[in-house]
Amino acid sequence: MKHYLIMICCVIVRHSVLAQLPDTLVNDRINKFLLLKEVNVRPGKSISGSKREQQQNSLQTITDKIQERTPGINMIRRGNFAMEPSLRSLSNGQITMTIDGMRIFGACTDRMDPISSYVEPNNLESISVNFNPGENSFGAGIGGGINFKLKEPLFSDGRKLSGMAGTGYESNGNAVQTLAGIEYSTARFAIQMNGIFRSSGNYRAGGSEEILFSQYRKWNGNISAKTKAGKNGTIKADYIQDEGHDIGYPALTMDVAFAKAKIAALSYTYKAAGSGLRLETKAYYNMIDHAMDDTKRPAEMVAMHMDMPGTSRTAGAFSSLSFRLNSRHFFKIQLDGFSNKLDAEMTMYPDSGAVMFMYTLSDLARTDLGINFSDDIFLNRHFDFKIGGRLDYMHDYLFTRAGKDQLSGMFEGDLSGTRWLKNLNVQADFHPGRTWDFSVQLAAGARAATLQEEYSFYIFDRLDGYDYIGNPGLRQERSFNMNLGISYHCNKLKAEINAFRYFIKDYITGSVLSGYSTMTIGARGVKQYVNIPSAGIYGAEAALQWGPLPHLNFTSTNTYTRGNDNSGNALPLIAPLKSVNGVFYTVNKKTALNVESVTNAPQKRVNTRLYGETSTPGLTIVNFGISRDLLLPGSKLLKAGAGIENIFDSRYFQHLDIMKVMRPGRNFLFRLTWLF
Amino acid sequence: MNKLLCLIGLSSILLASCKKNEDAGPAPSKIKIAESTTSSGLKVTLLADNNTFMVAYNKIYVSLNNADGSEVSNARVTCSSLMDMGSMQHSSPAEQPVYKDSENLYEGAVVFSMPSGDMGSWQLTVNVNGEPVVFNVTVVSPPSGFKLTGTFAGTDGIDYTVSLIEPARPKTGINELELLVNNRHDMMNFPPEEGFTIELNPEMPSMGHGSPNNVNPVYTNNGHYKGKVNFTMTGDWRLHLRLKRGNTVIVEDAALDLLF
Repeated sequence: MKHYLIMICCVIVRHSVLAQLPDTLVNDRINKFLLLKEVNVRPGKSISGSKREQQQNSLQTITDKIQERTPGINMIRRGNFAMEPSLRSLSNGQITMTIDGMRIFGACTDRMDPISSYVEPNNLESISVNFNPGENSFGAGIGGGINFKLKEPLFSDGRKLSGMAGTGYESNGNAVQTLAGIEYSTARFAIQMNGIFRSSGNYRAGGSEEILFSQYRKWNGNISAKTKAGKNGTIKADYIQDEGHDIGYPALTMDVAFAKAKIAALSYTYKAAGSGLRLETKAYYNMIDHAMDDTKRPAEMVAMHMDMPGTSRTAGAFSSLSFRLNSRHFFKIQLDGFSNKLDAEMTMYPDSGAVMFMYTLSDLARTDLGINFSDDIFLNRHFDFKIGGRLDYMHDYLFTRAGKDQLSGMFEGDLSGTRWLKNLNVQADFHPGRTWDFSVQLAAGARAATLQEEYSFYIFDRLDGYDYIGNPGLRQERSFNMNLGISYHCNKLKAEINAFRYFIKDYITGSVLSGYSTMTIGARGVKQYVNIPSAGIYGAEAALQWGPLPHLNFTSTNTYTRGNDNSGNALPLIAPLKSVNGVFYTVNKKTALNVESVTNAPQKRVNTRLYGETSTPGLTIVNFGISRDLLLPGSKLLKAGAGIENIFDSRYFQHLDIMKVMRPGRNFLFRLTWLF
Repeated sequence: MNKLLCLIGLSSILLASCKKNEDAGPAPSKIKIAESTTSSGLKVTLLADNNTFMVAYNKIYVSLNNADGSEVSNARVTCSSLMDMGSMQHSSPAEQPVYKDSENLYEGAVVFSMPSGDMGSWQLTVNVNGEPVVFNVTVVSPPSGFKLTGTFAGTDGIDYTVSLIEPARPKTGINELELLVNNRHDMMNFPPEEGFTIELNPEMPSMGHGSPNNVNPVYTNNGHYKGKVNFTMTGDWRLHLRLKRGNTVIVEDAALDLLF
C-alpha cells in the first residue's frame, strides 16, 4: 500500500514546488511529470494533506520496496534484502547510483550490496530517478541513475524540537521495525538524528513454504547538522552508519555475516536571495566493509568453507554552481571527482591440504574527474529546451604489488588505463496548453567498464553459473538514447506515456573462455567480459491517475522493456511487462484505504544458452492497506496503519529473481508512528 | 597444526607468502655448513642458502682460503654426492662449482634425492685441485606439501630426475619456472638431459582446478628448462610435467608439489 505513494508524492512535490519555489526551475522540471523522476519519502506532519499521510508509513518500508514501485525500476532479487535496482533493465555499471551526489560503490563481488541497501527511508528526503545519460549530473553512464537525496534539517524561526517514533510488525518472517528520530532547530542551527532497527526471520512463500536463509538484521543511524555561515551560506555535516548482520541470500551459495557502511559528508551551500544563484561544495568519504559467510549453511551445501571479505572506500568532492542568466537561461555547472578503492579476497579451507588465498578483486582503484553542465532554455510559453553534458577523465589502476602480481598470471602488460567519457543530452518540450506536454529527448552516453568487469578474478555469477574473468581491454559501452514523452494533466485525470529506445554499441557481456578450468566448485565454465558489437533496448512506461471523486483515486503504472543483442538474442535480466493498478480512497481526510494489484506478465524471451536464463511465468498479486491518523492532545499525531500483502498467498517469483527463489506469501503488517 | 609447523619451518627457505607483502625481501645471506682443510693446507668452507640441505635442488657454495686468509679464486673445484646405504651406494645429480667474482665463492648445486636417516647418510665430496675433502652432510625431507625433486621411470627404460629450481619463492601470479632434468646413466652418473619437450599443467589438488596462461618449459642449457607457471592463488599446487622426446611420451606425469 504505502508504495502507492510514490505516484502520489510526485504530485505533491510538484504542487509544492510550483507553489513555493518558482525560481528553482530545475526542480520544477524534475517534478513536472507523474512518471519517473522523484519519490518523496519525507514524513508529512500536516493532516490536511490527506494523500501525504501515507508517506509516513514509507519510513518503515525498506528502501528496496519504494524503488520497486517506481515506474521504470525493477529490482534484481537475490534475497529478502538488498535488492539491486535496474532502470529500464539497465543496472550495475550502466547506471549511476549516488547518495546525495556522493559516489559510493558496493563492496560485494556478488552484487549483494547495492548502495541502496545502505540507506533507509528515514535518511532520505527523496529518491530521484533519471533515465538518460547527461541528465544525471553525478556520473557517466548510459542509463541515467538514481540519487538518494538525504534529508536535511531545517532552520526555524524560534527554538523548535520535534520528533517521531514508530514501530512495525510483519507477520511473514516475524519482521520487526523500530525507528525514532529527533530534530532540533533554531534560526541559525538545526540538527536531526534518526535511527532504525530492522530484523526479520525466514519468510514463508505462498503455501507456507519456509524460505531458508532469508533472514536479516540491520540498524541504521544518521545525524545531520546544519548551521548558518554568513547571511546566505550554510554549512552542513552528514553522517550515516548502516550495519547489516546475518543477512541470508537464499539465491546464492553464501550469506552475509555483515555489511557495514560509514558515510560522511561536509558541505557548504551559498544561496543568493532572489537571483537563483546557488553554490554547493561538498567533500565526502565512505567506506563499506562486507563479509560473506557460509558457516550457517548445512555442511552438505558447502563444498568448501570460504571467507570472502571485501571493502570499498571512496573519497570525493564536488562543487556545483547554478544560476539564472536571464529569463531564458538557467545554467548549472558542476566539477566533481572521486577515488574509489576496491579489495575483495577469498580464503578457502579444504578438508585436506593447505589454506588457499586469492584476491577476487585485486586491490583495484579508479579515480575520476568530471565536469558537468546544463542549460535550461525557456524559449517561450510553449517551448523549452534543455541541453546537458558531461565529460569525465578516468584512471584505473591496481594499488598494491600483490594485486598486480596475481593479475600478472591473467593479463599481460601494464594493467592501468585511462579514458575520456562523454555524455550529451538534448531535450525539447512542447506544451501547447496547460494540459498537454510533449517532450523529445536525445542522448548520447558512454560508460566505462566497471572495475569488476575489467579485473574480476574468477567471480562466480549465480545467474548463468559461470566464473567470470575481467578484461582490462574492454572498450566503453556507448549508447544513443531516444525518448518520447506525452503527458496530459487535467484536474481529475493525469496520463503519461514515455517510449524509449536505446541503441547500445560495444555492449559488455560475458563470453565463454574455452580451455579455462573453473575455480568455483560446480561452476559450468569460465566466461570473460567482452564487448559485443551492439545491443538494443526499447520499451515504454505508462501511468494513469484518475480521481473521479475528491476522495477516490485510481492509479495505474505500467512498465515494459525488451532487449536484444546484435544477433537478435534476448538480453538477460530484462523485466517483462509490469502493471501496478490500485484504488485509493480517503474518508474524512483521516482514514485511507488502498487496494492494489501487481501484475507481472510472463517472460518467455530468454536465451538460456548464451545468458543462462530460463523463462518466468506471470502472476498477479493483490495487496490491501488501511491507515488512520489520530490527533492526540498537544498537536501530537499518531498514525496507525495495517495491511495485507499478497492477500491470496500466491506462490510466485519474478523474472529478475536470481535462482527463482519464491517471494513472500501472505503478509500481515501493522505500523504505528507517533509524531511530536 | 602440522601444516602450520611446516609452514613455519619453511619460512626460512621460502619466504612465507605474506599477503600484500610488497617486496620479496633481500636475498638470504649464505650459511656456513662445514669447513675443512685440504692436505695442502687450503681451507675449504662449504656454504648453503639454508642451514640444512633438503631433498631438492640445493645451491652449494665453496669458499677457498689460504692459511693467511686470502681468497683463492683460480682453483679447480668439483663436487659430488654419495649416499651410503650400507648394502649399496649411489650418487645424485650435481652442477659443478664455478667461481663467481662478485661473491668470492665457487657456486654449484647438488640435487639430494632422498633424506639422510636410518636408510643411510650423505657425503658431499669437494675436490680442490685434485685433493678431496669429504663433508658428512644432513639432508632433510621437505615440509609436507612439497616435492621438489623426483625420479621417474621413463618408457624408454631410463630413470629421469626432475628438480625444481625456480620458483624458489612462489607467489600468486606469474612465476618464472626453471627445471633441471637429469637421466640416470648409472648409480654414480646423472648427466643433464637435453632433448625433452615438456608440457606443464599446474593443478590445485584440493580443488581440482588448474590455471591458464602457463608457458611450457623449453630447454636452455645444461639440463635446464625454463618456462612460466601461473599460480592463481596460494595453497597446494602440483606441477604435472609430461616429458616427451619428439612425439613420444617418456614420462607421463612427473609431478612436483609446492605450497605457499
